[in-house]
Amino acid sequence: MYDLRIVLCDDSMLVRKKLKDALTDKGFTQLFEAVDGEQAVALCLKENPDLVLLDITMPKMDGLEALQEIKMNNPSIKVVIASSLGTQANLMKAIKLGADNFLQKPIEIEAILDILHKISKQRGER
Amino acid sequence: MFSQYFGQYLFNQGLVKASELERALIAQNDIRVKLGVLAINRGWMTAEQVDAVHHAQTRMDKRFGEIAIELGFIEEHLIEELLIAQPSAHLALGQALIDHEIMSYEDFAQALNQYKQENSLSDEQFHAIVNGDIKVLLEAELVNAGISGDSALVDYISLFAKNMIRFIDSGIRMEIGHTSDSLSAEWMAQQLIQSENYSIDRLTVIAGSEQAFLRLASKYAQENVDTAGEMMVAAVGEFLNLHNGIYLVHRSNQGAELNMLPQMVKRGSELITDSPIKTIIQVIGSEFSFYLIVTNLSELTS
Repeated sequence: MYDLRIVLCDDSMLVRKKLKDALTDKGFTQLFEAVDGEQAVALCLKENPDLVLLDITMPKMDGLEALQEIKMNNPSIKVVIASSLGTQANLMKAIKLGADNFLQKPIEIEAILDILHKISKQRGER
Repeated sequence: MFSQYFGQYLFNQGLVKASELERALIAQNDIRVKLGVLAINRGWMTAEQVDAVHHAQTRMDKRFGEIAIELGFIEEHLIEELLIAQPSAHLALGQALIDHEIMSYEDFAQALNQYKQENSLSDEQFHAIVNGDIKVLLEAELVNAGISGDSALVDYISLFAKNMIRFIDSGIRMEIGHTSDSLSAEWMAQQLIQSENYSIDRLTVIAGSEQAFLRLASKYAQENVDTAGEMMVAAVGEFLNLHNGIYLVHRSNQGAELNMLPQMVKRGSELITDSPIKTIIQVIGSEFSFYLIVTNLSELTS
């Protein structure tokens, strides 16, 4: 699979570590970590990732605000909301702000791999 | 899922000692539930009949079912039904207690019936619990604690039990305690849940000793966490966050949209909350014990 550039944004070190370990095991090497929405927005400007995984409930800037900024700066970056807070209201907000997927925690790595596979295919076809 | 509650009942009633219950809870995972226990649970055979079949088995080389049919205790089609039935966890606990000679078939049958009666559970409710619907049982316990009418709280506690079982420890039990004005603990993980318009917030807390937090973190992170550092803080905080998120999704499905703030995990804090503590629940696992503290969640949607 294409070695995609991925930003993992969650205020929980445990969640970032588990995702990073699982994706590293699957051969992804270009992984970047952010602990809040502000860092995720800044990382996206600097690293131009293919995909951002965003938690919703975070300090400083929450995931939905970060989603809005990331998409405003670069609409081609795929953004997946990966949160325990999969309420109807949040799902609606995320869709309106341009989220590409919404995964309910606990996150199954297979779900992320499916998304990465699709992005990889799209990138390879260009 | 039912077993820990049935076990708790047996323990509270003095029918088994703590060490015996612990032994049976560990043993139940490797236990094959036998026809006698299955038949007693369905009410299709009495304990005396099961004992009689076992006694007969010592004199003849025949299976339990064959003898039970021959003695006229049960019909063949019911034996067939028992053979294909998926045994529930509480039966594995019962079988473990019997196999370890902590209880006889008669003791088990009596305790099971007594338990059903004392909790005022209908057969349908009992079936629901056996099949994993612990909400029914918790409601029965909450009636005793005098807080059963609070559906927001009942939902919160039953979901917490389910999430504990799903993510931490399948052998937990929960003791619903009384309200208290204040509480201090070595460590606290806290998270505020907010009303839809953000005007009201209510606190949820996991409080416990450092040892309890380390064990909880190890179980949730599925790796050994032996120091009170970043991983412990992240794991306990994330578990509370995950649970509260699932609770908010659950409430959302019922038409109540709530929000929540990022979780905080602090050492040596005394609980300070704007709203009174609604209930304190002691959560007891195989390797830890901690408190779940909940304020008045029903006010978030009032």
